[in-house]
Amino acid sequence: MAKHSMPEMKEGSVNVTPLIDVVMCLIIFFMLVAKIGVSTGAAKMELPETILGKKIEDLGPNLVVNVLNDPQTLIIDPTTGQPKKNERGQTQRRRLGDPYEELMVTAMVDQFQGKGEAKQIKLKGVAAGDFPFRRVLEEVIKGNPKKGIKPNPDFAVTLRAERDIEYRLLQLVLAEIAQAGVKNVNYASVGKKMVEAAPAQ
Amino acid sequence: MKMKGAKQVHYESGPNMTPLVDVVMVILIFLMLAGSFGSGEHYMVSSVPIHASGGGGVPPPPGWTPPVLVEIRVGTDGQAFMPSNPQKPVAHVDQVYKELSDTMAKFRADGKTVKDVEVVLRPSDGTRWEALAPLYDAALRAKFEKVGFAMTGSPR
Repeated sequence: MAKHSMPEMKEGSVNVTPLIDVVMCLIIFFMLVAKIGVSTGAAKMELPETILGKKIEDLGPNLVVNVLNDPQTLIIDPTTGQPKKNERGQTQRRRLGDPYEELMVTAMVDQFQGKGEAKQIKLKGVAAGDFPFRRVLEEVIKGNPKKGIKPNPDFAVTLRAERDIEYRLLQLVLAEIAQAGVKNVNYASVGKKMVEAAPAQ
Repeated sequence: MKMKGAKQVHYESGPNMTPLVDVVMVILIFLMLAGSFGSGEHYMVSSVPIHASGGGGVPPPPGWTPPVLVEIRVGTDGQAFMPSNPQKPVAHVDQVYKELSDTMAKFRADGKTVKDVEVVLRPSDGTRWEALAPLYDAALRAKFEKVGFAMTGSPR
């Protein structure tokens, strides 16, 4: 029987076997932990800051709804070409005749069919009595056998609203959510560092 | 200078690991750059269903008592007017938190539970969400479970 032995190392060379072991472990770690290509339909926007919030890893069956100001409401400074801001640094916006036109609501409506892309949904349709956003929510709550959507009475809406949205516009979205019969709403925000400790209770 | 007659020694070094290390490092760098590890967002969870309209005309269930409401009016500038002093705005959200904490302590001393009380935020039309969210947050931090918004317009 031939005698097998470890290949001899040249003097001064580096054993790369442990390096490969460590790197493979790191790759497996990043593959498991990182989320690549998983979209919830969350749009990039500036959220308000809050101190207390729950880091919810699993929100359960929910629809992420993004509420933004429609870009056409921006007032552009003709001299700088940039959006005008007031003395407090807040972006100034124009009011349109129909407040529904001042909002842009997007959500990944087809996620329950396994498709994923955030689409804009109108709160109020052209035809009288047509409320597309409410229809989408009702469909998810009550189900739609034709589209393969099962009923989800405990379905929640995760509301991500831009920080400078005015309440007169936001309440339009909240009203539609209420009319659709959604019981649970989560409001997304970003963490703010506490500047002073809470008083002892 | 090559020595004539020197014995050539060949060491069995096995497969060349350098390309494997290169590929593995590239994959690692890709995953580090392309992956995302969370957005830093957190959520304020509401436990009050939003009421699009009042309960008028709907008979309450037997034995139901309406919750005690703590109404906070919020001005266009985001200033909060607490029920203890509706004319004077509260300067900072931490003061709102402190007042709400004191209110919760009083309710508990009276024997009420968190399910018997509800905080209602009543904003103005022009109040921005960035001013409302910290007030909502302050109510949750003060251990109120039922926190809701009042509608300013008439819902359909």
